Amino acid sequence: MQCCAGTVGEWMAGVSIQNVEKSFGGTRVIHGIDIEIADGAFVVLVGPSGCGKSTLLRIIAGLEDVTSGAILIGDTEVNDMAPKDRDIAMVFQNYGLYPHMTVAQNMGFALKLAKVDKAEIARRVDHAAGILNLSALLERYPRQLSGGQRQRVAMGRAIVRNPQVFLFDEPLSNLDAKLRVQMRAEIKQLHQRLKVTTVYVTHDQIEAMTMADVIVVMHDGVVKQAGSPLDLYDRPANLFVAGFIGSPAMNLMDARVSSGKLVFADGQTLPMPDGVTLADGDVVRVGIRPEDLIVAQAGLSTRVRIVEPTGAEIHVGTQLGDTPMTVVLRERHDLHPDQSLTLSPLPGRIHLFDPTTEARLN
Amino acid sequence: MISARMKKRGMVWVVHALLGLWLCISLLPPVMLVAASLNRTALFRSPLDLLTFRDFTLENFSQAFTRGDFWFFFTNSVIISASAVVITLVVCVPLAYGLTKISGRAREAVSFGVLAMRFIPYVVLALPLFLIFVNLGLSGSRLGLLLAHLSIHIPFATWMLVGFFDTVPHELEEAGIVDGCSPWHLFWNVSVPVVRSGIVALAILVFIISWNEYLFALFLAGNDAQPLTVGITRFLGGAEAGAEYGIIAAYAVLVIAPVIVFALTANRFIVSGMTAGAVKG
Repeated sequence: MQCCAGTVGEWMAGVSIQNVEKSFGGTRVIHGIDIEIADGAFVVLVGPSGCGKSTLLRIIAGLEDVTSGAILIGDTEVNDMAPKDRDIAMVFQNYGLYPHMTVAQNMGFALKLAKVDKAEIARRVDHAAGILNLSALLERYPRQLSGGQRQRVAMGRAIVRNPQVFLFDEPLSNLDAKLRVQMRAEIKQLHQRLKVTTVYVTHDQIEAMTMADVIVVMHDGVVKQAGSPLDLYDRPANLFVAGFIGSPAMNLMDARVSSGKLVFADGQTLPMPDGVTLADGDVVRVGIRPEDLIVAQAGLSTRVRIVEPTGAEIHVGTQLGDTPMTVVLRERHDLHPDQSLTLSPLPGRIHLFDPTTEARLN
Repeated sequence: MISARMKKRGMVWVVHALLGLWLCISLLPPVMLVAASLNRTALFRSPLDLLTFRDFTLENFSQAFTRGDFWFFFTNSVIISASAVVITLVVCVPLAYGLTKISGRAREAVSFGVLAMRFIPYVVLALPLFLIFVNLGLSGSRLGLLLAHLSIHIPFATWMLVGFFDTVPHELEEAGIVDGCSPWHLFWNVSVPVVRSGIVALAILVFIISWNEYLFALFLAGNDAQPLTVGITRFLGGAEAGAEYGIIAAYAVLVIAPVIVFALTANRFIVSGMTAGAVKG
């Protein structure tokens, strides 16, 4: 279905990724992925470099073929469809603006190629420019714009097409930290306004947490977990997600089960969390988020290595035996390196993982 | 701090002085040429003396026009050089773009083949081309001379253009694909405009090389296709050669004037930093 005149978002559709595999030569980079993206959802594909997230996005866009499996946009299988016929619009990491065209020409180029009437192109470009605060810049060239403005033009180019699906490929990674936070909010507001199904790729888990309705965490070409940001944060399904989501990262320490307690390498213990039955002698990996530890009278005795006040909170690097452990404290404490600090996890905030299968145990 | 600044300023002065000296040395021959063309007698006179214009005249120019068959040679030069530019661009721009789209060994092989043509000093080609053109009946024709020029231009231009097209960011073409560009649109509306400055610079170069070419013209032009570079030699040599220096100078000024005009005109289309803002650098 070609995009057509009408209000933005009129032709929304979900995206269905069905058992998609992708190989480059003999190297398989995506191993049978299934993802259902609901109509109007904002889905973030997140993972470290080389996890296959950008490849998956490019497959949805039609810039790469699938090796096997199917991609559906709405009810239509688009495997063999050219990108322009998929009714998608993509925002690239490096903007990808045509340097010889003005902002208005950049934004209207796809419509011009689709032989849309000139007056209609102008109307839609004006409308999108209004949404993105670009109205005063329409006659400028990309080289005359700042990084944030260029990124907005790239988004404008996507908006004017009224696509069924927006695809974003790490759109903020070239911006400085302040602008990134601002653009993050703008993209989220844009989605709230247009309600167009959006697939957004990033390696930045903060971006993923703040923007997504659904986060899909990928690693080595497989989906490690998909769910709402807080689901992933509260109940990571495996060690990879536990370590990837959250900043500072979750503390992960090996412990042995003994008499219903978790015994750490240096002999200190914590009570076993409820709802999990493990035999004595079982080895588990214990995960505790830095913000789920509080200073207490009784608990784990640690030694302070480094104190990093950020203003709102204090990040304290400590040592539990030989294992480094980070704590985020919201109260102000007078802490110094080498002093001892007793920490206790908040009730119900201990995550247990099988060190072999890496799966969650509780 | 101040001494460092003064040191820097001193360096700037030295660099400017050296550049000025270099400019004077470079400009001396053309200035002398113009001066000689505007004096009645040019032989055995010092540069400073010539620049006094004590026997100023335009007679040399009128002689160059009337006695030198100027317009005959000029027409040949224009037709050959302009055709060389047009044909080189029409052939090489798509060829080079195509080469950047194939990958691996095929591209290397073709690129090396094209470059290898540049290894041959082109004087070596003059005799075989002459023999071929005689057999084909192209000897002494503008078409023959044009083909000889193209044998130099096409490898050179292709090699340059491949370099230009390689600088077009990958994302730009992908953005084009998503926007609905056909392969032709990607070439014509996305990639070519981005390398436009390079293409213009190349056009200037090709024009200048063709315009100034002498060796092929001497071998292959016969009587009917001689360009200005050969025409000028009519005033060289002979018993009264010494007396003709003013005319030769005037003729030479007429030879270099069009190429300067062309270069200045085309130069306006060279916009530096064309890809600026296309992608994050």
